[in-house]
Amino acid sequence: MSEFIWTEQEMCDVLDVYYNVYCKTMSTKMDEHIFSEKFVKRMKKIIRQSEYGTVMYKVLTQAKRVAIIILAILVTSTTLVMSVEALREKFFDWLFSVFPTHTRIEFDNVIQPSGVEDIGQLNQYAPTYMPEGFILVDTYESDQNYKCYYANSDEEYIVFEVSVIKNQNHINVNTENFKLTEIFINNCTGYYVDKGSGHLLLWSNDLYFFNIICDTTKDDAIKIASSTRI
Amino acid sequence: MLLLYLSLIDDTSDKAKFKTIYMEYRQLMWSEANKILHDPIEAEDIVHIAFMEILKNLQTIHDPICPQTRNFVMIISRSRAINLYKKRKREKEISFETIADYNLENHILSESLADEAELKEKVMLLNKLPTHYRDILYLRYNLGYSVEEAASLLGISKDNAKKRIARAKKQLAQLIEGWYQNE
Repeated sequence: MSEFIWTEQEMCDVLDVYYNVYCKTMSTKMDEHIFSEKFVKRMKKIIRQSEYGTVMYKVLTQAKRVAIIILAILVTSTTLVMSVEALREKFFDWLFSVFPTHTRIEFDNVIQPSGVEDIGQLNQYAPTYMPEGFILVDTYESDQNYKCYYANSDEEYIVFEVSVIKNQNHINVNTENFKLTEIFINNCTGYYVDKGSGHLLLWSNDLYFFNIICDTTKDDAIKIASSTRI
Repeated sequence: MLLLYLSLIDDTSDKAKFKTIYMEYRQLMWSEANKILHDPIEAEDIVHIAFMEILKNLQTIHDPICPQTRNFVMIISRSRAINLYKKRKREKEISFETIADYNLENHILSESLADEAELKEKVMLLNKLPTHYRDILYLRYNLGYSVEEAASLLGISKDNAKKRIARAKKQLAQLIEGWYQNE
C-alpha cells in the first residue's frame, strides 16, 4: 500500500462509508420480489443443511440415500408384466395379487368420499413419535402424496408416506420368501413385512394409504405408525 | 454419540445465523443480481448460488445483522451475477464497464454526506472505481479475507484476484493523486 497517499485504514473507512450510502440508497429503491416456489424449496434445503451442520448433514443425506435404495428394493410401484398366473383374493378393500417374487396390492372399487383433504393438508398425518436421535432430513410432496425421510447419526433411516387412495393405484411389495402378516394400527387393518434389512408397514384408513419403511425395529415401526393421526 | 458431539459444536446461535442472513438480505441480494441480469428467475439462481457460498463461509460471519455482513452478501451476489453475465456475453467480448454503471449518482452522495465535505470528496473518488475493483478491495482489506478466499468468494481464479487487487490499488492511487493535484 506504499503507493497510496491514503493509509490502508483510511481507505477502509471510506469504503465503509461508500457501502453504507450505497445500501441505504438501494433499500429505498428496492421493490419487494416474491420468490418462486422452486427457489423457496431450494433455500429450505440449504437452511436445513445449515441447521444440522455440514458434517451432520452429510451423515443424514447418506442415510437418506441408503433409505431410498432399500425402498426401491423393497417396494416398487412400477407395472410388471405378469409372466405367472396370479392368485387373486379380495381382502377388505385391498386386492392382493400374489406372485412368486412379489405381491401386488391394489385398491379397487374405491369410492372417494367427499371432504378428502388436499395435499396441502396431508402433512398433518406425519407421525408425532420418532425414536430418539432421528431428525427430519427431507420431505417430498406431489399431488397425491406426502413423504418424510428421517435419519439418525448411525445412518439408520425411517421413511413415512401417506397417499390418497384412488382406483388403479397399486404398490408392488417384494415378498419373495416372506409373507405379509396382518396387523392393526389404530383399529385399521394393515400388513407388516420383515425383510431382514428393513421393516415395512402398510395400513389404510379407507381415505388414505400409509406406509413406513425403516431399518430399526418392528416395535419402532408400530410405535411410529400408531402416532399418526388417522 | 456423534449426534451429541455435533450438537455441542453447533450451538443455537450458529444454527440460527444462516436463516437470519437469508431472511434479512435475500431481497437485497436478488435486487443486485437482477439489476445486472434483468431476469428475475436467473437472479434467483444467483441468490441460491450466493447462499451456498455464504454457507461455506458461515464461520467467518460473526454478526448476521451488521453493515459488514450486508455488504459481504451483496458483493457475493453481485459478483456471481457479473460472472454469469460475462459468461453469457463472452462471444461478444463485452467488458465490465459496458455491463452497467453501478456507481452512485453524485447528488445522492452530496445529500448523504452534506455536512462532511472532505469525506464526500473521498467517497466520490471511490465512486469512480469500477464496481469489481471496489468489491475486491472491500473483501480483502475491510473484511480481511486472504486473496485466495476473496477469489473463491467472487468465483474467480487466485491469479485473477491478485491482478484485480493490484489494478484496483493502482487506479485508486491515480485517482487520489489526480485529486491532490487539482486541490
